[in-house]
Amino acid sequence: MDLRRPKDNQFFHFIQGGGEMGALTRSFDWSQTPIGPPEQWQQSLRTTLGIVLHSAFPMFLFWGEDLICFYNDAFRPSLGAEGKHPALGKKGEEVWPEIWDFIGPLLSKVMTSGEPVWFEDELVPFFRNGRIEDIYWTFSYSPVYDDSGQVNGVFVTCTETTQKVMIFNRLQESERRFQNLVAEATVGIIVLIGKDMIVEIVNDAYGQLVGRSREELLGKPLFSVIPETEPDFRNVLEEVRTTGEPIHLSEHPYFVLVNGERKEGFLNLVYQPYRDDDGKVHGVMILCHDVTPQVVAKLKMEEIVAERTRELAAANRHLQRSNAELAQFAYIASHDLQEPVRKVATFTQLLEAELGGTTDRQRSYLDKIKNASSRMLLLIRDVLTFSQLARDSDLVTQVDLGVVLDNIVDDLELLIDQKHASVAYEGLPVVEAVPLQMAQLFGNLISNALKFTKSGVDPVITVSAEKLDKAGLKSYPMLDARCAYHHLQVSDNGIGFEQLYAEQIFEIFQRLHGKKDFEGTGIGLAMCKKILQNHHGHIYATSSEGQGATFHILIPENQACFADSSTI
Amino acid sequence: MLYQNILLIDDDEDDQEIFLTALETTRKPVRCTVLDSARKALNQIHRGELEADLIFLDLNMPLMNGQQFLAEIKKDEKLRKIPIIILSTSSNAATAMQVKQLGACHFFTKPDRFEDLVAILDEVLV
Repeated sequence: MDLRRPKDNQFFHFIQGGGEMGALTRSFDWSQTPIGPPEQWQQSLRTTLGIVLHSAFPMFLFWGEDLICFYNDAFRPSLGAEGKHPALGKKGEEVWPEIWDFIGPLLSKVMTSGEPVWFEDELVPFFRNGRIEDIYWTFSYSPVYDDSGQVNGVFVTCTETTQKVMIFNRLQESERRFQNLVAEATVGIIVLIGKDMIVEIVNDAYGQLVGRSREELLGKPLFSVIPETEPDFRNVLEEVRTTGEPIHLSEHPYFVLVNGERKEGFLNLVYQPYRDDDGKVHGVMILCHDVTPQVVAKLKMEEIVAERTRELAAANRHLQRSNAELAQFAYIASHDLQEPVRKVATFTQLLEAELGGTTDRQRSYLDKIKNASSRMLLLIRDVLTFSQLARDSDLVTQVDLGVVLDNIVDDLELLIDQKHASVAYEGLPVVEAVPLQMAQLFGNLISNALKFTKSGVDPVITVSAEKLDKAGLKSYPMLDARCAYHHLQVSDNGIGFEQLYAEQIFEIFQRLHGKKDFEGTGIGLAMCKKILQNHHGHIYATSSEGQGATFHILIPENQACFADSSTI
Repeated sequence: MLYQNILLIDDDEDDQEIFLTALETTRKPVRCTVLDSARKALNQIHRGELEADLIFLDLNMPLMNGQQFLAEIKKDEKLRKIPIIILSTSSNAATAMQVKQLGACHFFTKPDRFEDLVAILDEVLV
């Protein structure tokens, strides 16, 4: 088909084709409108309408006094469903009443002045899709001249930019929110761009940290505004900017000079690479959180703890010294006390021998002197032994407690026979201990058992041992749960004691009986307690009067477990 | 008879007396020299003014204590053969071990019963 030649309908050759709107234009009864039937239309209208209907770009044409409306298929979607379409042939004012206030004067202006107008992303809300919609347009109104050279129409090219504007608005909104976030953040935020570290974004919180206003900082190289921070922070910034790797600094000390005054504190800092659109790092974003109060509190706490630790160590040293001095005193005192008493005892014997025959009264006095002096000697020797317990404590070795008991039974053989006593023991463990002290410990306990016997009953003494299990260990909070312990029991069938006195009997010079009934110095069990203390163990007793007594010994298998402790 | 010249070094006069009485009681035919100073004793032995084939030695003495005397005697080639018996107030096991290491042949704690001292002398002076 040759489009350049008019077809049958010679009046509509300018609106051949033109899609839906072309067809509508052709079939429209134009004779009822002010512009009359197409055969009477001016050439300029025909030409312009041809351009409108054949364009793929949205176009609209207002023609004549009444601004009769024409538009093309491309414009059609802008009218939506249930809206103005079909508006063809109607007067402009009838089609666009809701915006006539805006476009009416515009159209008149173009018609009268012949000057085109241009609007970009202009909000022109109108009725479509059953309601008034906010619609953004970019459009131009251009004058169209009629055949007589008068402006007789307005040619509209337009494109709806609602989507674009929405996206733009959303971007702006999000940008605004970001700005607010930065501005209102309690964490200091600053963004530095480029090698010169120009401040692009900064918030008040940052300004407060460095004692500068936002205005002082914005747009300037950071270190020109706060040069005092350059030595400490330039390298970090450089590193993040050049490597693109973030850096976190915790409780980092900083200082700034504000009006010549030094302001200092501690910051938690996050350095994030700041990338431009193509992903290249072109700056650094810094988040600074002021942790000065926390750090100061922590440092103060540490100082207090250190101070208390020093005090404690000093008190400990003092205590150790006075303990050592006390032991030394007890040793010297008892050592030197022995001599005169020994002489009293010896010379009394010599005097007795020298006297030969004596009266009963003389004899009695001599006996009292001898008894008193030998008791004095016994006391002094026990105090001496007690004071020496700490001195010998570096002699730990593996001690077979069975062998210790063998020796004790050997030593006490005479007494055991005299008392018709039996001493039974088996399965006793080997422990790491001071051998002499183990002998003293069990010697004291067996001697006690042989001493505090019930008259008319043959003494039966048993020593048993078992390893302390986890549950057992828990019931003795004074023990160290990481170490292995043995639980030994020394039991007798003697006179026992009231459980009430179970702790008191371990105190030095504590006696439950008169010297006449049972001789002794009241040091034996105190010594046992001290020996167990030396060995990081524990001793306690259970009994009820007349029911015999059991002494419980809890002793670690190894002393290495307490390597950090100084007692042994 | 093994020993004939006994030397007792003890600064305590009472203990000297007790020792001599005990020695008398043993009725052993020995001569006993008594000195109250270890330093004096060492000087006299070195100068050859004093001969002893057995020495009883106290430990806790002023100027030169028993241990120092013991060490000096054991340094001397000729003198180190003289047996030395420690007779001390101390009953400390560590002290006993120390003097044994220094070369003492016996360690006795001064007994508080006279007959025990006599028994010790009887045993040593067989």
